[in-house]
Amino acid sequence: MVVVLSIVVFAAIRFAPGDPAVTRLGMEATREALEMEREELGLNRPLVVQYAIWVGKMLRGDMGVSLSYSADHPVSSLVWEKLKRTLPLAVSALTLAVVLSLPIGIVAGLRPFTWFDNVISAVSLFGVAAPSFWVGLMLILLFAVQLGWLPTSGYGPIGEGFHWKYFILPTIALGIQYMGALTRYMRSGMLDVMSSDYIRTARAKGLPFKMIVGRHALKNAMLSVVTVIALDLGSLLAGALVTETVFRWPGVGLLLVDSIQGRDYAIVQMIVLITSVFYVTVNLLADIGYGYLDPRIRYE
Amino acid sequence: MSEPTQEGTGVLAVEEAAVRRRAGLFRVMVDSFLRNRTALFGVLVILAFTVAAIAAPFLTDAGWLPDPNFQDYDALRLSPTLSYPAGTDTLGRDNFSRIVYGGRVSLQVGLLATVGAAIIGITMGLAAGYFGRWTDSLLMRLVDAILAFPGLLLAILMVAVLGPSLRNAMLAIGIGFIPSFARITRANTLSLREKEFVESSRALGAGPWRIMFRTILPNTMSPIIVQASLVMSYAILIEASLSFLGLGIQPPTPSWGYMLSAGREFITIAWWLTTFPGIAIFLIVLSWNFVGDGIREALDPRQQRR
Repeated sequence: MVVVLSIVVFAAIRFAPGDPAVTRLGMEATREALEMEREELGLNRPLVVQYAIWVGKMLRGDMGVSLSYSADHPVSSLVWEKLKRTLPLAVSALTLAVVLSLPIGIVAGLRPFTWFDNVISAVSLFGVAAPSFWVGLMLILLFAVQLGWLPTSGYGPIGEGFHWKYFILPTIALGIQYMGALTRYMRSGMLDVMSSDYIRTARAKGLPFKMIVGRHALKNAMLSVVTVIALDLGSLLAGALVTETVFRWPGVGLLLVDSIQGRDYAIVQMIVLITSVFYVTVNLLADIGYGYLDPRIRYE
Repeated sequence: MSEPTQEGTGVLAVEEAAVRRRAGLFRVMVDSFLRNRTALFGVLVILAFTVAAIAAPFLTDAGWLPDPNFQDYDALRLSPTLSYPAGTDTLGRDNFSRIVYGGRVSLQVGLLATVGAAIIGITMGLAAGYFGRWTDSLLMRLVDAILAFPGLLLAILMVAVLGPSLRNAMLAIGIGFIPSFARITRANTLSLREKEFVESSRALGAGPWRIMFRTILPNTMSPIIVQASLVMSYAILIEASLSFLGLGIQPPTPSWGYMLSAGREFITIAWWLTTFPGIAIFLIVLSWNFVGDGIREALDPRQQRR
């Protein structure tokens, strides 16, 4: 799978229109200079060779040198530097979503079609249908522009580095979308389980309600939710890329958008590859975890 | 459920009864769908946006809707008033008209990407499920390869490679949704392949393509239709994200995502530029979700509300 990924990413970026040599040297460069630059970048070698060299370097942790940044900025450290800002954002958004939506979803699933459930359903539907970047913009309007409680964007005060106040709005904007989806899954999972036969049996035995929910229902209702959380991790990272541009959060997303515009192959390759490998890994872990939670599923 | 077939024997009579039964079922479905208030709301919103999108150029010609690209330098960044229901942008263009025209892009991309993905995905799913063996493994490996990328990221990568344009955005979004159609169709085909009515069709001498498209496909349509309306909502969301990142259709053609990113610069002084295009995206995505859920409920009596 990872091999397929790497080939697709390599091919996609390599065949992109636009000449990296021109990007590096500028439009005024002479033909000879361009040719030398291409030779130096290895762009004149056969494609298979280029791919082999690329993979070999990757495996050694050498992710190439960015075309637009200077040579003493290897891509690996550049991307890693940005990843250190994106990951906390994604993790805290996910935590926020999980911590809030699971209990809410459980309660809504236990009391279906009451006013509480209706309100929750409406709110979570909002989370699902509203694009996260628009939610981000609306949060800026309310909390930064109207109320003035929080800064509109950035990583921290200019020239001073990180400040927690800058962290809040991006986290909420990113978290809301997953909150919506998770709440809906948790609710319907709970609803399904509670109407099943074995719960009726448990009720008939006279078990206390708390015991039924805690010991019997919860475990089965969580099954589908675990997969959804895992599946969402990948799209969470992709969503973080868009949310970052809203808040001018200097992470991987902003880097990706800049690199696409600058035709910076090495960086785009890196980011797409890292995110996809991460996504595939998480899905695999989810499958394994699913089998662990549900002994009925066995892999040959 | 099943009606007696008194009109003689033979295949014709059986088919006729099936047609009549289907018409009856169809009416029940439509009834149940229309009684579902959220689904009805969804249909009305989609209809309104679609009619507005189609009629927009004619309304402009008739003088009822301002040209979305007309720049009035005496009306820069006006807040919403009666003559500008959604205000004007930083070049003095009518924001309401731009939203109406932006709907053309959204619906066009959503529809073409969904239909394209559905046609390719269904064909792949039918072939994989019906032929099995190496056809199946080959096609499903292809599907797995697409699924290895998170949807939005795949679209970003493809547009970055092909260059930003309306056509490329549609292509990039459509490819990402092929797997969902292929998988659903394949699963249903697998379960239908050994059924008696497929067997009888084969006995009557139907070739594999006829069996796949005329016999099996009509019986797998319902989950596909539900899937299509949900894909429609995702496709519109991704298109908005792409054009927000500057990877969708290029200005000056108005699109909702681009309007939001342009309005982002003026968020402290012109709230209407970031508010209204987002509401439009939200409404249309919500509506497709409602319609999808409505069709699902209409098709599946178990999920109907008590």
